[in-house]
Amino acid sequence: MKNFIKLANFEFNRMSKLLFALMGFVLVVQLGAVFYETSTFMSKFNQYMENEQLTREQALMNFDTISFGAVMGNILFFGPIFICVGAILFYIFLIWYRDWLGKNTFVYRLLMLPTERFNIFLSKLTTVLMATFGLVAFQLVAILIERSVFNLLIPDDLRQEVYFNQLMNTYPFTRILLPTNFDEFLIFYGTGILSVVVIFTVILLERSFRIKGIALGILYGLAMVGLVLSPIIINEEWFLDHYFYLSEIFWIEVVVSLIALALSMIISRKLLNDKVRV
Amino acid sequence: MKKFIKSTIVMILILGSLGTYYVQSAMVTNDLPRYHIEKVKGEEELIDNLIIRGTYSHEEVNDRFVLTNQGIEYSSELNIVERFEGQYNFTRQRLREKYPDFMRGTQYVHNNLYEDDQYLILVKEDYEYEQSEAQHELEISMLNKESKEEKEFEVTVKEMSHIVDIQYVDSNVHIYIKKRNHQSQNISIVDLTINPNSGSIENETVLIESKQSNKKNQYVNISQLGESVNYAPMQYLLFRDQLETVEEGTDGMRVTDRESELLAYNTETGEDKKLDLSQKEYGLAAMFDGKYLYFEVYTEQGDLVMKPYNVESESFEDSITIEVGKQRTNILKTVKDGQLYIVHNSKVKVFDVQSGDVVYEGKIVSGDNPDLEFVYFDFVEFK
Repeated sequence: MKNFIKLANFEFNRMSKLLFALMGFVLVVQLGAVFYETSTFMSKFNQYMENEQLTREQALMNFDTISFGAVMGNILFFGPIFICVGAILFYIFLIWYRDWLGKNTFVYRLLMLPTERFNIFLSKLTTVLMATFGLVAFQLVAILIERSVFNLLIPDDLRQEVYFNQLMNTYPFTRILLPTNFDEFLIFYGTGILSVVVIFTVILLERSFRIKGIALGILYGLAMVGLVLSPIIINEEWFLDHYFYLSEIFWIEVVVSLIALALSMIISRKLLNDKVRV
Repeated sequence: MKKFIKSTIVMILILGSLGTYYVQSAMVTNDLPRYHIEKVKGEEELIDNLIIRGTYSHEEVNDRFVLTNQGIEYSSELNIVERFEGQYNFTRQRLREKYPDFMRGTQYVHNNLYEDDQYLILVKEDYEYEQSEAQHELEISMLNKESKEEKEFEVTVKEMSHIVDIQYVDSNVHIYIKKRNHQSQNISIVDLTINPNSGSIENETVLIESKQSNKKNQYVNISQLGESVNYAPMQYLLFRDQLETVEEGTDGMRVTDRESELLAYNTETGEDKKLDLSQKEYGLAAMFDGKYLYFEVYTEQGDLVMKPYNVESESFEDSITIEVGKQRTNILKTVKDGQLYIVHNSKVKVFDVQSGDVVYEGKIVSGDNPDLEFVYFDFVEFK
């Protein structure tokens, strides 16, 4: 356990610069969205007052207020989120390949550490998960900061208050990123964890058998997708004709996903212990 | 320790931020008011299967709910599977809980279901094309609730548009279907009489047929008058046979003339009769419970007058008057077994149509939030 914690911390420190850079990038660009939306709105309001020659009170009667939801619909707000998702996806591969492809084949030293080799797998998985959840958690904090700035820039009478939960339910990408129901959070991120573990196994197959490993990896990946989707597929009209109820299919899916997760971990452990090549 | 500073900071961020978010989300759900129906007088069993749907909207909460005699259930309180399936089909849910094996493979229940005290009948539709003509295969499953005996049989029908109703009369299954002839476009309502022992169609009777007019701007249609509980045994089925004349105006096609006839078909005797009840004279025929047809009229004094018409005796029962105010505030109504259910002003009332008496009265209340300022009821039905 101690070795795993040390190794996980070591892996995390290796990617922390990238993580903190992504956090800074998200905050700066999303604040840009806040400034853009607020300044556009205020100039439109002032122009309306000037053109119609109205007092502020009169203009307020006919002018729509603005909520923070307008900021969340701006590309400068959701663009950084997509870039972070892309960065994490890229890092899932980089976290393994840089140990092989970097100078001095760092993997050689990793594999020679006096610890269970599977700890390398677990530490890399932990790092990817910490980075993912770290970015999601930071997004929540960022929204709080951005809302405070938004509230400072837009006067109360021109601002429409929207509750935090409602904001998170406004757009599909925030609903997936942070569902308001905890069971949905477990399912979305549980599926994510399973996907990362399967991709890690595919990478280890390639690292173990090289060219042949690519074909094996692709086949393994497809087999896992097939396995996880099989309960849904066989329950369709052409086979079981919806014999199972949705609640039953859900629990079958949970069991099948856990089997896929365990299988991938067992194969990865075996590959790391016996097959992986430097 | 210094080596762990970055990962410790990120761990604190994750636990603090996500933890606060989900605790706060859970607290919002826990604070939802627990409305319930409190009996004022009458027989409480009458509302056992009644479902009142609505929305609670206040501050950060905007949640759909279902209120029954057993309590209230908000959408946000459902688990992920229930949320995915939705709160929309209580009949299917009730039947799945009671007859889990029989209900397997049933995707939806609507007009394809019949239920009485002894039998449960389900029809699944499938179709295939043969020489560019659709052939419908009807898979009929029948459960004897007492003996638990199940029967399954399949029949094939041509030119079928959809199932209108299902009844079980004199040990035969009657599937009423709407047919549309591919070439002539004539429409008909057909009664398929199926003997459960042989599993085949014993008789195919055309109940109503409407021939398309030769005039280009005239269209015929036959529609069934909506039943409040569409799976229940019905002594009568009501159909509206209508001919519409349309003309092209500046804003598109519009109906310039509509001739319609109301037809009552007796499922027990197989006889039909024309009902002379024009909309102009009697108002809108809003609901039908198998025996009574309910016409509704709003008066200038702000009353809703429900006029129950007995299809069997072809006479009106005494009208039931409900004070709704000139604003016609939100009023929900449904009917079942000769009883009229009204949900209005946070009250649930059940009127016996024959006597005109209130046989049940209840009040929608909540201990922690007595007023219904933030509640909007929008639909009432039976499980």
